[in-house]
Amino acid sequence: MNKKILLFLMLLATTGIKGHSENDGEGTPNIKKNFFIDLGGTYGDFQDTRFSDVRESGFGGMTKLGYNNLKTGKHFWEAGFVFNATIENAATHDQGNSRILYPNLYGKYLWGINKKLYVGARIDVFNSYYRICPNLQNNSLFAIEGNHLYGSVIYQIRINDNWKFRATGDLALIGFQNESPSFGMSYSPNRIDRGEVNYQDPKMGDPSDYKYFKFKYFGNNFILKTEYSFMLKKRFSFSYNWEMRRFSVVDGYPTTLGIHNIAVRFNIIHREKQK
Amino acid sequence: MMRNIRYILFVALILVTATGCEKIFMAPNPGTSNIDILNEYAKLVKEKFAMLEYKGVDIDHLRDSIAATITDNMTEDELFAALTTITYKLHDGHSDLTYGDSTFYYPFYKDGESAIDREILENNYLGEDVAPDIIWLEGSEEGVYKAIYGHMPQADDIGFIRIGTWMEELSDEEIEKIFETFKNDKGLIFDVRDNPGGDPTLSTKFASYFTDKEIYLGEEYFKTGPGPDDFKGSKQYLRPANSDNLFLDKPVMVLTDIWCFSATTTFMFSLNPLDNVKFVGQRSGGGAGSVADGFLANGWHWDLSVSEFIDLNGNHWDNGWKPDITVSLDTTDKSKDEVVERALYEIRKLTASPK
Repeated sequence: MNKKILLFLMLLATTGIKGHSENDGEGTPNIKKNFFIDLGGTYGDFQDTRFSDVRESGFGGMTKLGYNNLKTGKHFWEAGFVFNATIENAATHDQGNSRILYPNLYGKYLWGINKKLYVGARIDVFNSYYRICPNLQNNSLFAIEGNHLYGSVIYQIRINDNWKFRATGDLALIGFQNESPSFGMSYSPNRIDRGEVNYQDPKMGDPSDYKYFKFKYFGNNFILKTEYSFMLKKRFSFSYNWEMRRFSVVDGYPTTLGIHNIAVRFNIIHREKQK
Repeated sequence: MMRNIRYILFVALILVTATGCEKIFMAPNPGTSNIDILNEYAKLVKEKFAMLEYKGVDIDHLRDSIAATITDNMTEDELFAALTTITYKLHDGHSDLTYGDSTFYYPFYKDGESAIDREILENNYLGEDVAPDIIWLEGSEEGVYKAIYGHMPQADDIGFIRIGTWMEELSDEEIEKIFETFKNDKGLIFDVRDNPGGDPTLSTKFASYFTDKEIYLGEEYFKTGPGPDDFKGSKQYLRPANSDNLFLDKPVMVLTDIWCFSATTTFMFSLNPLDNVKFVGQRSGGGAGSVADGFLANGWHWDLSVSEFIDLNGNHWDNGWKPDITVSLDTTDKSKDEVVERALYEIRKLTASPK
C-alpha cells in the first residue's frame, strides 16, 4: 500500500510542475529544429521476484540519435532512437552477470499549452528490453517486447541568456506487449496461458512473435520516463533521464527495473527561425 | 520567491529520481545465511517444481526436517549436502543443484540398464570398414555426430539412423536428405540409445516424418503460479513434416535404454501412438518435464522441472517408458548388438512375404 502511495506522489510531483509554469516568461516565439546525438553513461537496476529477490545493478553506456522540432507555444515533436547497453551484477553473488541490450525507437508530439508547457503523446514504435545471462541455460534470456502509448508532458524555462531547462515526463497509458519467461518456463506467459506450447513451432522461444502480444494498461504495466535537460546555447545539452518499469506476470511477484542515464547532447544540425 | 520554490522543486525531483527511485519498489535483497538458502531453495521447489504430487514430495515436511540440522557454522559443502536431500527426493534427473564444480541430480539411471556398446556397434554395423554406405554427419565437436545413417551390411533394405544427441543443429535440408535415403526401405531402425536429450524442437521435427496426419499426444501442464493448482495445460500434437519423404506405415524400431532422457523422451512420446512404431531395448530414463533455471542468493545454480507431461492414456512419462520388446545387451559378446539384431528380426518378421 505504501508503495502505491509513493508511486502516486511521484507521479503527482512529476506532472505537477505545470502548476508553476504560468508566470515564466520565455522570450520571442521562434522555431527550433535540431538533429542531435546523445552520448552518455547508464546505470541499471533490476529485480524479478518470480525467480529471486536478489537485485541486480550495473553500469553501461547509451547513445541516442534524434530530431526534434519546437515551435514555441505551438508544438513540440521529436523522433529518436535510443540504445542502452549495460552489464549488471547480482548483489549477493557473482554468478548472475547479465548483459542488457535495450533499443527503443519512438516518436512524440505535444501541443503547446503556453510558451513553457506542452502536453501530448509519445509512442514507442518498438521497445525491446533484453537481458542475457550467459550462466543460465533455458532462462538465459529475459525479454520485454512492446509498443507503448504514453501521455507526455514537457515543461521548459529559460534560466538565463545561455541556459535553458527542460523537464519531460512520459507515462505509459497502454501497451501492446509480450514478455518471457513465464512464471517458470522460458516461453512467453501469454503462449502458456493460451495453451499453445508446441515444440514443432520454430518461434517457441521468440518473444517478438506478435501473436502472443497482449494489451496492458497503466495499472498492470507501469512505465515512467523522465528527463531533465540543461541546454547550453544552441549546440549542447546535459541531461539526466530515468525510466522505471514495474509489472507482474503473476500477482505478488513483480518485476521492477530502473534505467538512469546521464548524457551529453550535441546538436549536429541546429536551425532557428525567428517569427 | 515563487521562482526559487520552483527551482528547489526541480532540483528535489532530480535528486529523488537520480538516487534510484525504483529501489523503493523493490523487495530487499534476501539473506544468505545457511537457513536463508535452505528456505529459498525449498520455496522455489514448492512454487515451481511441477511434479510434487506425482513424485510424492511433501516439501514443507522435508524443509522442516532439514532445517533442524542447519547451523550457522556449517560449511558450504555441508549445506550443499543438506540441500541436495531435497534435490534427491524430487526423483527427477532434470532438477539439479550446482555449487562450484559439483552438480547433484537424482541418479535416474540407477534402476535401469544401458543397452549400447559403441565399440560393438561400430565394429560390426556402422564402421567404415564394415559399412561403407553409412554416413557419419560430423557435429560441432570432434567425436560428436549429428547423425549416423544409411544401410548396414546386414540389411540393405532396412534403413538405420542413430542420433546420439539432440543438442546438435541439423538443417531442414540435412533432415530431408536423411529421410530421402530411406524412401524405398521396407523398415527403419532409429537408434536413440544413450541420447540424453537436447532440443525438443529437433526431436519432434524428426518425429514429424512418421505421420501424415495430426496426432494427439497428450497434454503438458506448466506451472503458472506459486500455488499447488497453478497449472496451465498445452495440448501436444504430432504434426506431419512438409516433405515428400515421410516414412509411413512401415515398421519402425526405436532402440532405447536408460540413458534416453529429456528431448529423447519427447521423441518417444511423440511416436508412441503410432502403430507401426515399436520400442526395443531397455526402459528409458524419462525426464518429460520442461526445465527452468536460476540462482539462489548465494550463487548456487538450480534447475527445476516446471512442467509435467501426461499422455493421451493418462500415463506419466517422467519416470521413463518400458519398451515394447525388452532386450538386454550382452557386452561380453563383441560380435553382435542384440538390440540391433532383434530390431532387424522384428522388421523382417513384419515385412516377410506370406508363404
